[in-house]
Amino acid sequence: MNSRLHLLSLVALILSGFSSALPAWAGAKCAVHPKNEWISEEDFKKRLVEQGYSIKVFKISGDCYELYGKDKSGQKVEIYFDTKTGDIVKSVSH
Amino acid sequence: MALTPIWPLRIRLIHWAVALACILNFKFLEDGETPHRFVGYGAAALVLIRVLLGLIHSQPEIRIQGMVGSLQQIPTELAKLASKQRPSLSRGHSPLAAPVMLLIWVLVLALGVSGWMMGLDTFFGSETLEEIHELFSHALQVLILAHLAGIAHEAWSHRTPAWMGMIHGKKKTQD
Repeated sequence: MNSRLHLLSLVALILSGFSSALPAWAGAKCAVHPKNEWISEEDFKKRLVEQGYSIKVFKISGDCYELYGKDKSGQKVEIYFDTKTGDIVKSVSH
Repeated sequence: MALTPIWPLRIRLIHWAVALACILNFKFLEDGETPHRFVGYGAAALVLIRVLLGLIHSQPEIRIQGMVGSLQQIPTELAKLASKQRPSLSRGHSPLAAPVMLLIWVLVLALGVSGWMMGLDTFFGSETLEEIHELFSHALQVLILAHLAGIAHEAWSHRTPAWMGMIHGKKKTQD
């Protein structure tokens, strides 16, 4: 009986570990701004190009703008930006 | 009943290394970052070694051929499960475990390949590929749960510490 209980608690422990892994969130946490304070997508992309980025994909990702592309030196980049200030929130290494 | 040595050390090492890699990538390493990628490639490489062992190893329990052959006993085993009879004991993977293991291997390899593709110029930033990679990941997590449930079921119904097969390599092969 005792070993059954041990087994049960072990299984429960493992299951709880996995269930909390399921909603794993990829991405970045950006500050939330009301839509009217956002830099428009057009302007944002223009600024990125001016800064030397080439844009492969540009999209809204949660509360961030997200860029997949290349930087000045041709290095692949994935960057999350604040939608109002344009600051880099997170840069993923590739 | 004495336990029979079945799983050699190299199989057990591969098992735990892949298990560790899965836990790290599901739970601890940031998706898409360099550590996540290399842990994933490592797991895929180990599974590839396991598959090769499954093709060339002299021991029948390790061979994929035997696992595939046992698939035809699935209906019998499912019927036992439905009528609450104890599952059959096998020397290697049981007939219900074999497809779970094979699918886990396929998924770890598919995750490695789809993850690698996500970094290619053509697919960089592709939402579709990202979703496919996530789908593989969720399927793998479900299969790992099935694997754990199977271990628990065998342990319970045969009163044997089934998980020890991957620790000291020995298992109960008959009642």
